[in-house]
Amino acid sequence: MLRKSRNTEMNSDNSASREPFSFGKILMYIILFIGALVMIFPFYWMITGAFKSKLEVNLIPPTLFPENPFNLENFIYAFKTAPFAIYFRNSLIALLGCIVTCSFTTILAAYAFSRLRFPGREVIFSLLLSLMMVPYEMIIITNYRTIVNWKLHNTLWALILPFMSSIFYTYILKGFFDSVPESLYQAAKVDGCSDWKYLWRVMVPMAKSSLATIILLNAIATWNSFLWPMIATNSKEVRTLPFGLYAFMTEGGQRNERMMAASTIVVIPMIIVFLFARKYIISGMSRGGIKG
Amino acid sequence: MKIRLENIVKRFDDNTAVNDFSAEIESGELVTLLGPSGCGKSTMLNMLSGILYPTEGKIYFDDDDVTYMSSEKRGIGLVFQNYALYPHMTVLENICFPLEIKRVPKKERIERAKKMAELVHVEGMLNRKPGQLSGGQQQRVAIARALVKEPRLLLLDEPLSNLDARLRIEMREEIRRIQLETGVTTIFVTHDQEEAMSISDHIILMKLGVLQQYDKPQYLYDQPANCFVADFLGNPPINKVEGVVEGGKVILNTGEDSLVRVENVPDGTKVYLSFRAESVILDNKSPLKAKVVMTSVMGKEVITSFVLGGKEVRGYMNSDAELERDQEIGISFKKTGVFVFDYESGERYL
Amino acid sequence: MIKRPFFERIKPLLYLLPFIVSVTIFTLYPIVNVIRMSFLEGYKYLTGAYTGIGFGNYQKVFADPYFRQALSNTFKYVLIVVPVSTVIAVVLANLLNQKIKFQSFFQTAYFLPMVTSSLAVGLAWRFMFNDKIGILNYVFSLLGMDTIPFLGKSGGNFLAVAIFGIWSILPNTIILLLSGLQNIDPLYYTAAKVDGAKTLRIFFRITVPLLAPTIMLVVIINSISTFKMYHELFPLFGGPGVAYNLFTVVYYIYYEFRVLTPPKYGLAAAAAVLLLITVFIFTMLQRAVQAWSRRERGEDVKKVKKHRDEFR
Repeated sequence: MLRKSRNTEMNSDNSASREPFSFGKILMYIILFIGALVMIFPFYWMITGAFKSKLEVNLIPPTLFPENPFNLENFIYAFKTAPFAIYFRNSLIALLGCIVTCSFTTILAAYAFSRLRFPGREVIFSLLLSLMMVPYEMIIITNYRTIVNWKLHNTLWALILPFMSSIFYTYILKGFFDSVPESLYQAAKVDGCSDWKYLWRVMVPMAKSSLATIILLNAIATWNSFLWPMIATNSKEVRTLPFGLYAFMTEGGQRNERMMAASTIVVIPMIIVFLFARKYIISGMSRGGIKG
Repeated sequence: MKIRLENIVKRFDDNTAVNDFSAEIESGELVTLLGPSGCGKSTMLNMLSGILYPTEGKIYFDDDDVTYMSSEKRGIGLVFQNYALYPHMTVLENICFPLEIKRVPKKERIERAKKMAELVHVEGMLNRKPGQLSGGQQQRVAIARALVKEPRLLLLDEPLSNLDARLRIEMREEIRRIQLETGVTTIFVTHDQEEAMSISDHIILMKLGVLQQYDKPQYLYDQPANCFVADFLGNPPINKVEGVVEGGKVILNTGEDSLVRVENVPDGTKVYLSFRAESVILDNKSPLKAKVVMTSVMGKEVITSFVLGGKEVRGYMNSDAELERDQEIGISFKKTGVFVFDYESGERYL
Repeated sequence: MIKRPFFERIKPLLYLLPFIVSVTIFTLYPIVNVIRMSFLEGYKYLTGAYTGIGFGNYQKVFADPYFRQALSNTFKYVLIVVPVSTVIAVVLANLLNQKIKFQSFFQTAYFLPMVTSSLAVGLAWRFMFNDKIGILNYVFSLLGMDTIPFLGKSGGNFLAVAIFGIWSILPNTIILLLSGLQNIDPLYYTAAKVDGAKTLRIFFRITVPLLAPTIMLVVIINSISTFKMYHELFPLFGGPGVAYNLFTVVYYIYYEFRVLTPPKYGLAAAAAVLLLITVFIFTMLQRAVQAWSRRERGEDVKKVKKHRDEFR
């Protein structure tokens, strides 16, 4: 994905591979491996820390690998003292709720902005795009009040409702819809295909990879979201994982090995998602940076 | 189904794409809309399909006024230059799709689709996706999809332009075969005159939104209505030499008498003398002289370039004599394939 | 022309309805509301009462020593994190853009932080920063260096949040730079190699200048996101450092409307509007740079084409 164009263009240029043991090459790999180590080490330290005992975690010098890699007592403690199972369930509900509702509004809106004709379409869309630069931290103030006024404070609805639509995802999907040749639409129209049917039978199946990208980005954002749940909820029954983790930090004491176990629970699902869908996520992220 | 177009006008803002277009298309015929890009042929097609509506004028299918009828009610099949197949559906699903929309029962749907696939010779690849097919195969599928609901009218919008030369010839023969087998009234849009000549019952030649001539292919070639028609058709392109009429004679700009005569044209009228390459005769007794530039052998024919009236022109000359560069030859013209057009208006005098 | 049927005309509205309703309630209205609140003096949210309209909230914000401290902390943070992360990312992105082995390993390693909870990872960093048992201070002592009280006051915790900030922002920065690097025509490299240029020279004389527009873009985008720093404070310190010594602008907003009881919506709103203005200025800069780089690239393409034509 990221390297595709490069590889094909550079195929003829193999002077580098002819001298694989040059000093520069070795230095390059050393730097890259050190960088990778720095990026990955916190994860390594978190996960190994989760398997260490209270004694081991306070050892100087620290052990690089847990003495007993099957020591699950920290996880057991975490699940016992804090209802991480409930947090996990809440996170899943919020995740699915956000993905389903947001994908639905996004698909409809992107289709309207891309294919349906109505007065002011371009103006409205560019106004919406300019809203993307508004810092979320500014919006949160009023949304908190809205949720409180609607008496949805401290419910799972509070975690879904404000995220039922996304200008950014609509922008991505509209971009894809725009790239579908108009002749497909005309062919379907001539056959008597309605817009509704065309959207769900033709456009959506074709947009599979764009949809996968926005669903993944949405899933990552919702799963990791921490401030809004902290503002909009407080009781244990409706906490999501990250907020539960934060609460655990104060409620479950300051024991590092237990904190690491709890952090591992939060992080592992997204690591798995990333390992499987790296391609989509990276391409989505590289588009995300240039938005606006 | 018979089609009648009455005084069709289509304006976009201040630009007129089609102007006062009238024509009748007979049932079961294959008629080509031919013209250079921007001549309004695609606009015309889009009005026939209901993608666009005319600004003025009427469109009749048989006796039904369909001018403002929406596409899906017209009963037409549409084939595009880029095939417009649904990339996520198999060939069979693509062909079935129009029937699915019409809520044809699934069993019948598949039966009819398979029959169509046989007609266009893609029955062996029903479970493949469009991306796995060649351009020609994709276009066959697109035609099957357009025909499966048994349309009254088949519209083909430059269907061969994305194919390479060899496939283009193969596919145009296929389109003709399929059209004759089904007998569906067909309108074919192209900018390629050769394609149009080889495939059509009739050709409508357009320029800048205006119908220039509507005739059988051979008539268009033999009896062009004006200079544009003569220029547009034929390969090699028709030769054009400037001249002026004096006493019924067409005198070339270099002062020679072309030996071509016209009637009822006032003296001093500036004209083009146009003649087809095959209408030139090598005739050393002729007072009209020309200078050879070069000869080239094209298959069994020899084409000779020579300078006449200050212009380089070409002719097929069945001569055993080897012509050399700068050699002076005598020229005369056959009765057919020689035309005189007004220099300004392109109106035909001969 | 004919009139389209009623349903056809309202159809776009029906498609847009869920989206527009949601955007209006949860994006558009909040913006308008915050701007309005920022001008209402002595505003009480519950009753809707206010004592006056004007710039009172803004005056109070600017006079607030917490806000001043927040501003200076935020600027310090931006000025350290952005340049350092950009330099590191330029080097790493360049190396990742070479033909290298272990592609997927490096991609996983460098981009993993983008998908993982910054809170959870922040807790891991907090563990590593620990004054007594943290691995970082252990390594420092091995190297014979003084240990740093990362979680204490006196600048230590600022250093900690800056390190965490740089680490967090690197993946995004590298991704942006990589896509910039891929827009550089390989012809330039071939030409330079034919001329016998060495790696370092190619890097400084070709890559960096051609990458300049992307680098500027990255600097601006990262400035915006680092300017909004406050997430990082929660896992590392459970709040704005020791005795509020790490207040930042956005933490200030959060503090005024969520931590304080009763909340001071007016001050939060005024600070939020100031944030919006800052982001707006940076975004305009970003657009200008994007327009400029598009022009540049357009010219590049022409140049390359010309070059190729001459070759023939």
